[in-house]
Amino acid sequence: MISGLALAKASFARDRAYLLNHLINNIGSIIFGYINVRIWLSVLGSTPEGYSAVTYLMVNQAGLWLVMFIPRGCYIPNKVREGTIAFERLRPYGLLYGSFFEIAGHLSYNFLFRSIPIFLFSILFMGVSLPASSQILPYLITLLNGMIIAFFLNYYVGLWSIRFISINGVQMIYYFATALFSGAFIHMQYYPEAIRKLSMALPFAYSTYVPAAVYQGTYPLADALLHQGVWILVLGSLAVFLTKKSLKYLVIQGG
Amino acid sequence: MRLFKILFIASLKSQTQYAFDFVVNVIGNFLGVFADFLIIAMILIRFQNIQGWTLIEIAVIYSIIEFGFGVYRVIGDGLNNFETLILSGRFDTLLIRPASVLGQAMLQTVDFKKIGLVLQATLVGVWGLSQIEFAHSYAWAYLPTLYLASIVMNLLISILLASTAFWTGKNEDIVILGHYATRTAAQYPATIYHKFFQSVMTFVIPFFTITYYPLLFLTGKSQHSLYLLAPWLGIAILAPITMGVWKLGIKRYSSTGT
Repeated sequence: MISGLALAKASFARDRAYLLNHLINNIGSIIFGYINVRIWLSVLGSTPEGYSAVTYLMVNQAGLWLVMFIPRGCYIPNKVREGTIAFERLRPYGLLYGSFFEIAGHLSYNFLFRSIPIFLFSILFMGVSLPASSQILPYLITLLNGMIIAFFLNYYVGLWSIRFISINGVQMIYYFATALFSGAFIHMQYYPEAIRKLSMALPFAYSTYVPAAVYQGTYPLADALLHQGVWILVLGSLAVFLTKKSLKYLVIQGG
Repeated sequence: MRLFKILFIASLKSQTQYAFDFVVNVIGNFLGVFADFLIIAMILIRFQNIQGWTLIEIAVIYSIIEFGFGVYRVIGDGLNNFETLILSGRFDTLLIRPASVLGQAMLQTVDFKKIGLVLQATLVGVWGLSQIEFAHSYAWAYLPTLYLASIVMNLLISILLASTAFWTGKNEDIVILGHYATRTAAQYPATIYHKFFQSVMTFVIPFFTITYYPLLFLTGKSQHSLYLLAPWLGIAILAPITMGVWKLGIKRYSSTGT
């Protein structure tokens, strides 16, 4: 556990070196959010429903850096390409454990320097509503669960690189699935029935839609915790299984 | 042209060496961006139109901007990662070769894996154009020039934004902000945005000149036929500015390599 926290701390410090770049990047993220907000205000008008959609979208936009834009393959593809994954195999902990804490440090940084600034901007300038005080803790808990689910999904992309080296294609397929089925850009209530049912049967919505719906008080906390817990268990077990399988194919690149 | 042909063939050979990886990449690029259109489609299936623009009309706008972007990513991917040339000092090698620096920077690799981006834009365009009713019959003769203008505009904007690396070194975030965000914004009608943002998208990063304004006239929403000139006016103004900034950047460049 101590080595895990040390890994997270080192990962946080590495990101901290690029703070200015990340703050510029936040402007880009806000513009993407602005585009989505204008679309929804155009179709729903400046109505309570319109501003409810704005709140939903911008809460998700602030959270994208926690549940969607996680470093490609949890840093594993870089390590495979450079051959440094050989050193990872010498460490006194597994690949899954090391990746988890490395990403935990990165996401802690993103929460402080990406999500919070975007969220504050949304509150101050875009008409986003604060959550009811009773929803703050439930939101943070379900967001944390969402981050764990997103970690596992990205970890699979990383494992792909052990077997096939290049992850560009599978990374884009991941973006496709998460953009379409997570509810990040459209509230589930506006999905066509069939796609909504499909989305709720896949893990993506539990990393994005569910925390945002808990924020707005439209998804019961008990249901959210139960559903997310099941997905964490399923995805975590699969990650352990696939790690063992994948490492059999590991070839150390470079020399 | 000979250099382009050699690089073209070399890129194709190297990228198709690993057939499985190539196919997964093409599919991934297709789906990764196609999700954007599916999201637009879901909104418009539910709400019928955005400020009077139907799904079919927006599909045509989408295909114009995305087709140009897709072709740029195939032939100009070197510009997309231009910061790595500057930061590593490898830009030096481009300066000493007897060929166009810009051409070399652009054509470091022809990325055939990005053909998926072109395919999805083409698919959406074919669907949209098969359904759309233009207000003027000559629209069909004019349309190819819009798709061509989109390629040129995407290339110019990418050169302009790549040039910022001469001053800033790392410029990935500037590219995301200046190209990716604006291209996404150009998939929708200008009137959904505030005036200031409309002006930026018309006069600074003029993507609206190849999408919104010409389509406004072609679909009969405006009677200003001069809007048909907007793409080429936009390019005529942007091209010398872009090339000026690029040349200024090269003068400003000092190597970072060993």
